Amino acid sequence: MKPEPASIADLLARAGVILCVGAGGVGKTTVSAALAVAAAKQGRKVALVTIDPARRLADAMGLDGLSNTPHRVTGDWDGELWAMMLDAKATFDEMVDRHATDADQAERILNNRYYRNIVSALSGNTEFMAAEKLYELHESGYDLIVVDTPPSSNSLEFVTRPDRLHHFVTKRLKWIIRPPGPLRAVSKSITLFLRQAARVVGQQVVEDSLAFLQAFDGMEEGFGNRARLVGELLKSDDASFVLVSSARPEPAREAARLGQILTDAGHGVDSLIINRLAPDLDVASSDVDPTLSASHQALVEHQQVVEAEHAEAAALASELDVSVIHRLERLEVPIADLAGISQLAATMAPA
Amino acid sequence: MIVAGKGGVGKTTVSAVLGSLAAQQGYRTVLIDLEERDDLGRVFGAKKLQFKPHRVNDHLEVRSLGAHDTAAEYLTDRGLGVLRVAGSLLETVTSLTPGLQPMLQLAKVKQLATADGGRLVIVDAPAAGHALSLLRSPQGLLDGIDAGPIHDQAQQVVDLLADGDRCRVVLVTLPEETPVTETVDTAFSLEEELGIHLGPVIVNGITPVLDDLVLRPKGKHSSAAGRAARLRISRQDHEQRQITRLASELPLATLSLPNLAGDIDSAAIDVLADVLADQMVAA
Repeated sequence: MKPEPASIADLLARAGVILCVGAGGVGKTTVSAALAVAAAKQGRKVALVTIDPARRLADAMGLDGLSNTPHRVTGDWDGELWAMMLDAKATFDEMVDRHATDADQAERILNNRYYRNIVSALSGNTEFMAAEKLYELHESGYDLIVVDTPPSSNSLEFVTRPDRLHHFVTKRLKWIIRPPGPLRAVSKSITLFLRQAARVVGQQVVEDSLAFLQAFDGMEEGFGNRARLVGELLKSDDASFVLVSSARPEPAREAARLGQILTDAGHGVDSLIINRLAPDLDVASSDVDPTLSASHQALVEHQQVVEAEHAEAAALASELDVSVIHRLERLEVPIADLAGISQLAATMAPA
Repeated sequence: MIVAGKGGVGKTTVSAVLGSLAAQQGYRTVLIDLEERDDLGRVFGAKKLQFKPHRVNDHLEVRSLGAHDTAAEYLTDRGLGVLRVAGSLLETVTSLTPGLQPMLQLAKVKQLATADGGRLVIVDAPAAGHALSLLRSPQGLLDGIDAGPIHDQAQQVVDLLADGDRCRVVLVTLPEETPVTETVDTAFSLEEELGIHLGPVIVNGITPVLDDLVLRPKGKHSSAAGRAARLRISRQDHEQRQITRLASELPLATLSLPNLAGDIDSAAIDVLADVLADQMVAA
């Protein structure tokens, strides 16, 4: 059992890997960046991996998405902050390069039409590639990696089934051309199957994919071991999950669902960050007379939002078994530069 | 009609509102969820949406077109049921070709729109980049497959998507910086890269404007009402700037939906449908 963190600062000081998860549009990327900056302020060497940052945030961090390796972001901290924008395709290519037995094999795969299709189109690719990149960075001397995961469309499959991609490439496709022992006798039906498949997707696709599998031969083990290592890292005490949500009903429902998936997978949620809360003006909406003036009307409506968000946040917190809950107020002007992120970092983890 | 936008902008709400409104006006309407999530069904009192349509009223149906069910139906209809014998075989054959599953979902949408007398089909598209990959998938298949049934199917879907008389993408945004920026980017990608025609942009979640709010000089805002007024004005102004920017960067008509307190239920959908109907009459 992993020890429960006492605060965000505590979590940042101890974790080797932090994955930020949550519904789209709740400010997950900004929160991830602030966590990374806060850890750098603690003196740690941090890598921030973002998927699809808003342009201004990307500019603020000097991210161009061109290199697929972290670059140093300088600022007012003792540690080191490195940031990168994930390029899923380049990450996959790097994997092929790493696991290929020789340059020739790598080239055959990278030039295969079916491979090029898989990489650019296989959905769920981004999160699997984020996990892969995470592992690679974890092995290369950073104290902490903060990963801003893509919005939760694929139910955190990269966490619950880290072997899925490997399974797809090596087991499922392989099964068709080289069925396991007892099934070899029925390879006639496999031939039939391939013929049927060709009728649907076209002969050429079947041929491309077979060529891909042949080129891939011998790499399964490397791929499989890697998937296992990534899975082990995500399951270890080194990995922490930070759930980010707003206190609106829909994102909160999604957050509860994600929390449940993480709990079922044996991870749990280490910290819940409730973002974009309306500031409490400290009066009960029922104590204000909205007929007095427009300002009083604004106050009543404001406090009604505060009360609704308070209830939603409390419901979410009680649904998740989480020890650290941090509430962030909605900002009147969205964060657009490193100074803003640094300020948010100071709020979450005061020095 | 395909409803798309960044995550968290309220695509599902807007899809439900458009569906209700179309049905009210007498169009036979099918609302489609592509991702097998519960939100769209919940609004219409269906716990879990299924491939089988859920009937809301005489004019409105809601259903989910999950990738697996849609592919299974496609294969069965074409006498290729043998591929379904084992579920994993089906998945293998469809995942063999990236882009095939989304293309088959769109093909099913096309079939629903044209079969028996035609219907208005409203698709609650996946978030942000996933919607772009969905809409790119038929063209991608055409590039990869030269002939055969899938090629022909993909060609028909590409033709439908590019036909502004039959298909429009409605982009949804919030009056916030990042969603507006991404809406503008997505709009240009859809039009220029894929030749898809856009309908009006729907700006969702607008803070209703309170008239007569007075901003008193600083220092006099110590009262809670004064602070609430200042926050409200700042919010309204911020949203207005984003709406103005959207209009200046994107030459499309816009429709507005207010931010409603509380959860989106069927009563809220009716309120929003009325708001939209009034704007369409005015326009």
